[in-house]
Amino acid sequence: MLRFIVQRLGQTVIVLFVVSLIVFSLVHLTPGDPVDAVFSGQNVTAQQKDEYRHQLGLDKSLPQQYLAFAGGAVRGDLGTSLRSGRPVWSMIATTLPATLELVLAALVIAIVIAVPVAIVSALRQGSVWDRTGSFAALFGISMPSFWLGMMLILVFSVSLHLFPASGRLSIDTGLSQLSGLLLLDSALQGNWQAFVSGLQHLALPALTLGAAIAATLTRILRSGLLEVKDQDYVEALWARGLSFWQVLRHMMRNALPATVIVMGVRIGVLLGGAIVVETVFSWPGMGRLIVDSIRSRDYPVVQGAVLAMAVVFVLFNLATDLLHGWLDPRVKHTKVSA
Amino acid sequence: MKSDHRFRSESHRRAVAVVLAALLWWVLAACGGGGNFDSGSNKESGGGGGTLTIAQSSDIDTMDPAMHRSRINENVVRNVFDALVNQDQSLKPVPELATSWEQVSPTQWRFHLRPGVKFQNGEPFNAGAVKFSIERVLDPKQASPRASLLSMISAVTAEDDNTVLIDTDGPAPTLLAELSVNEIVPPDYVKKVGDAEFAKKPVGTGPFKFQEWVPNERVVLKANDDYWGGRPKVDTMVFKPIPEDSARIAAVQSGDVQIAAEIPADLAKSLTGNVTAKSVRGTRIFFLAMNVTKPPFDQTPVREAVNKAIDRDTIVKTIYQGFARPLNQPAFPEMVGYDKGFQGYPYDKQAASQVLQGLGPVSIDVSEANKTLAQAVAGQLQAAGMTVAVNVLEDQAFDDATEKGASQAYIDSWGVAEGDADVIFERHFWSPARKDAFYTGYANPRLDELIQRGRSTESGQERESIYAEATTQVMADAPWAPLVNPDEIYGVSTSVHGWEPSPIGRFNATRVTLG
Repeated sequence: MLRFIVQRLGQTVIVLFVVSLIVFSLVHLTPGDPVDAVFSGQNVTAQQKDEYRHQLGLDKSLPQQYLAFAGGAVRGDLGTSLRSGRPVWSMIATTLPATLELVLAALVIAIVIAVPVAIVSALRQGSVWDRTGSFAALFGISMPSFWLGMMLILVFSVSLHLFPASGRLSIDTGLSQLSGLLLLDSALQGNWQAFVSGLQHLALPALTLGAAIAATLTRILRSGLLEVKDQDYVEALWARGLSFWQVLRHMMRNALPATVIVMGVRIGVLLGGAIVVETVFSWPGMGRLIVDSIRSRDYPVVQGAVLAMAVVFVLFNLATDLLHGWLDPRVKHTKVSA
Repeated sequence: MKSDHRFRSESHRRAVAVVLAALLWWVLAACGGGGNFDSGSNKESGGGGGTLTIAQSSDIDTMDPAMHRSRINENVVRNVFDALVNQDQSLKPVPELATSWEQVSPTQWRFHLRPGVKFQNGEPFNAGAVKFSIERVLDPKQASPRASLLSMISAVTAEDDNTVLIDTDGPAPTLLAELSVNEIVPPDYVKKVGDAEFAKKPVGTGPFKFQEWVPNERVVLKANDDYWGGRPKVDTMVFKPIPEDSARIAAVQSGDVQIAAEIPADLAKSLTGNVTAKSVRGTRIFFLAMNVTKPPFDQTPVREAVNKAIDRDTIVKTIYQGFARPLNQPAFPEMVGYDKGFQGYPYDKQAASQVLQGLGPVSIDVSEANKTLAQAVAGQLQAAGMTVAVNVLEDQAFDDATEKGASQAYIDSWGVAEGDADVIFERHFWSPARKDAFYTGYANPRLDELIQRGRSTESGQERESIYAEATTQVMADAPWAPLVNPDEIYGVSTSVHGWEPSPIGRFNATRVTLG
């Protein structure tokens, strides 16, 4: 197991190197430059701009700039924002937890919705439950998060005043941030006012993102269960008089590995979806940070933030692989012997 | 199947579980109560107190007034800091930290300072603070993005504690307007803590004290009990960045915020219930710019015909729902240098199509934000017989194309918060400025001379007539088809009393009450 993890982390380094190279090239090849963005609409001479470019090291050749960036990144220094002058790592440190909190909450919601729906519709294939579930799943997949988010805001925020439409927390809760995961922080500090406020703010965005994942998850899990439902071993289990829950456990054991693998691959889609949801709900996460910094050609922030997202993606995938190995022991054996 | 009955009873239980899960969300919502998620607002009716929350389209970059160049940033910073002068609703300079001023000579101004004012940390405000603040912006080592705004200042002298002399290179008709966006900082404090710490814990003389800035989430300000103009009536002022237009509208409709700024005109009618749209004449000029070095726009008659082919009144009615004014010259009526008597090119599709018919296809570059306007203009040019494509570019790519002169034609806007014609003429029609930004590539020695004279002539009738002549000249050459001057629209909750939008976007909350 340990060797497997070390191998995977080794691959991660290569992946991150390639990602950094791609991000760097993309950022520098897009038209427009950060100095023009900083002085946009201002009365600044070309010479002043050149001086500023020199100050930022943007007049060096691209390979030189990449080496400076990569060298810094290896030492944990991602540079400073051109726009705000803040260190990039501190911007990521305050932003990444917001996205993680949103994604994790969405995952929980997705599992809570998808697992029961998938089980019911698989076991009662062709029933009203199945058709309703399948329709809801199809609806969930086809529905753009942007639209669903706006609809939830219209109904639950604007009309019913049940949930806030934007942000993460009310002001004046007196919460000091430790991990940046607000629910965790407020629970640790016993600040229940902040906890409830955090939950309220999280509800609609997490539901929006969760609905999209739930739809995919339902479909995959349902087809996984359908595959095993009529296999001989299931019949045999019933014949031995096992209870419903015991039979279900055996069925899940066989249906879950495939589901986990597919969901692992879809983590990228999930992180992409988070960007849309963050925009609709003004959620101060990585999506917002990346979009804002692309607009202002804030190279160091774009590079650092995309790298951070790549790390998250790789870690999520590592986690799914480990989970897969745990769910399906055959995987572990083949991987270790390979 | 033999196992079916078990599944059926289980599936009923499962259904109950799903319903329960759904109910959980409602319970969660109920335990927080409805309506207000930012505690404090509307707490007391009619009287003082409460929290005024304002949504703008983006976050601030810094709390240091010398280190930014954005209006959104200025709107926040200006509540913590004051400047020597302020601008009233018609962009005229009015006293703030200076109670009065006089022009000693064409290049020298004397400012009399408000006595007894203290910074929020107790440091006294005086002539030394004014000198320090202006010199700090101008210091090349500071690399302030505002330096070019004050570049006309050659010296700042403290005559005594309450009197400051400002010398300029030449006559500086925009000096007062520029001073109104350059705030005064406390010298001892800035020198003691350094620039970085000052940006984190800013201290000014303004009506609100800085409390916290959580990037991308909020800036929180608290009422300054000792403000020289009287303590603001609200206790707290919060600025939230909400970039998405519809999300900003939803935030004010749901009561998350009390004022939502930058409402697009076509969405203004979606403000309903306890939210009303408040608008004020804006300071932005929208225009179609034609590259005079690229055919067919290298022909003056073509550029004239384009001006005639655009029906600005219809654009105001349809795209802006009436929240805008049509422009027949590169200025709006409140600007110094606006020529009231100027006729421009009245809409004349017949005359335009005689010229435009049969020309080669043209392409109008535009950034995402101005796409709708560009499509409307393109439609009208098509109707007059031109073949027009709208080319939407990402913001930076757009700036790049226009500044390098790669665009055949483009639609953009220019903000003139200073309220002076020089801002437009110097940047867009003065040939030496083509080195920095090509734009239309237009150059006319006669106009260059008029612009130079306009810049170095004191405010008054002579200066107005210089700009009247310049306007006639530039519209005869027609590198631009001026389009509209849109209003600034805000969504304002009916619980907000005593607040009026300002033409330059500022949020003056000193007299606001909630209830």
